[in-house]
Amino acid sequence: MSGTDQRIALQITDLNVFYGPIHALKGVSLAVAEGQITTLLGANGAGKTTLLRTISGLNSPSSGSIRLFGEDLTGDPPPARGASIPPSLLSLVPHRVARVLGWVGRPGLAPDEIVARGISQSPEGRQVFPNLTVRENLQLGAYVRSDTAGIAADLSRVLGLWPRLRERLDQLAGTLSGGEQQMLAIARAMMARPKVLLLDEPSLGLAPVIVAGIFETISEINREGTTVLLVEQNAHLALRVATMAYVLETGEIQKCAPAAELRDDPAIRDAYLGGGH
Amino acid sequence: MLNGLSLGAIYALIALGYTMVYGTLQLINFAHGEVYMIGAFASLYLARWTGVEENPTLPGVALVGLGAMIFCAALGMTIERVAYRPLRKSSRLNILITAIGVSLLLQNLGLMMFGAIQSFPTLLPETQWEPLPGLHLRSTDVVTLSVTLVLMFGLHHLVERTQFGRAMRAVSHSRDTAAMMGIPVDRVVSITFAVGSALAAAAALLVAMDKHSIRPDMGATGGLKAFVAAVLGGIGSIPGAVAGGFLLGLCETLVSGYLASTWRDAIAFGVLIFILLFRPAGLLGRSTVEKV
Repeated sequence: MSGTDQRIALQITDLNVFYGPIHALKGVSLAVAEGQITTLLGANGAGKTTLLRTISGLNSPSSGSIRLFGEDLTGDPPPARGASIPPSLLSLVPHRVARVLGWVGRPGLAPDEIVARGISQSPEGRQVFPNLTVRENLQLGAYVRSDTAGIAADLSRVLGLWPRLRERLDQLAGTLSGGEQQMLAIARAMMARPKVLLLDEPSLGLAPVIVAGIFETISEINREGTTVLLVEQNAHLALRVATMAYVLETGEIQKCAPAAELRDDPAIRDAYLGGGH
Repeated sequence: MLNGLSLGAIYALIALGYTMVYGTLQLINFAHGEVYMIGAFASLYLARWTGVEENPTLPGVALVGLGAMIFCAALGMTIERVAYRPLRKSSRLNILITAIGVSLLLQNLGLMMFGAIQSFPTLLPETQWEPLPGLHLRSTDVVTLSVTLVLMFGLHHLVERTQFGRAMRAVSHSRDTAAMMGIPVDRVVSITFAVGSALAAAAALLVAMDKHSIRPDMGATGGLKAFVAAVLGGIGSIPGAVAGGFLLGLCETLVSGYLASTWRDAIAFGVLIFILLFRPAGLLGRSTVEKV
């Protein structure tokens, strides 16, 4: 894993995101190297989830770019001419017409196009579909794919990683324990066969022994070739599995260093590791 | 009894449209009753233009029904695209008011274009049997029930067994998470409107063939009753809409039969209030439990 000849899988450059008047991400730049686990640490409200939602196309950035192996996923910023048009009126106009009129710029990719390009996500709080069975959840993870044989192969692969899910295939996902739901959320994201897997706080609210198992599987998925961007509050564990680490604070990247270095950084230890670890 | 079931089937078909849209968007689509009304007039004009009115045949009637369903599906998708999608991110109250506005607009357009009450031709032969003493079977009830059953099985298959149905259920749980999985949420919502509207059109044709008269305000009462049925069963729940529809239909028919037909609506809404007192989420409605 030498850093020099590493290809960049996901390159985020100077990203700005607003929630109404709130400047949630302030010029965030971040690179995820192919084949590695990169971790993004930060406290609650630092903007970690906002970043992942923006990568997945659920928020649109006001400026900056997100590139997957060089391909830009974000659109052009809206032109000045479009600023005076109320958004509800704008949404009535067919997009092509609005573009010809110069009211909107080139649009960013829609969430389903982003999944199809190779970025999938296990969202914060797991968000499995509780009223669907485990099998149906996994089938939905492969929604953008049509290669039946490949989907079947990936299904048996994730069930090999998490035998617990195999036992519960036809059970409603809402009846699973928290740890099993987290496994399902990651497995579901894996069903898209992502090039880059986004994980939003997989340790949230789970017992330490279960978290340890989940992190072991994350490492295994990574060893088998999936690039991972791991967002965590639990810096202790995240730094153990990751190669590179970023620290996000109130919407800004404060630190970027090899994970091994941050493990020994007293400031990080005080801020995120807590005295007990 | 049987006409109670067939009345219930009609309520259930319309209620499905309310409940499916509510399930995906948490929106009460007040314009749905008007889509039902337009389905009746679309059937009438289709039957007239295609000549099915003069010499009705079973395939001809089926084609008229299919045509009305396609027309209403397109209408439902248009309503969603023009009136609701631009407001997707606004507050629920704004969308609700818009829905009422669309409903009034369509109802008044209907009054302008179709005039008042119109008679609907007899498209299928109507007979009555008495297979058992005291049990009367009307052919229109049999037709209504069998068409409804076929449509409901079709819908059940669509929702439970296909990838689109899974996507629809996923969207109804969380639009954001569904989008993260790569589900094209806008398309799923659009098709949901199309399916619900097509069911309403089928219900409209069945009612029109039974009652032989259609009117531009039929969507207001029919729609309201079906909405009650959807709430009764638990809005957002597909089996709930079916159960609520049949329950309401049976209640109304029994009340008209044994008490007086003027009491029908009072009892219907009384039942609604009574059930909601004890089960606020409706008969089959779920109060969601989240595990952390």
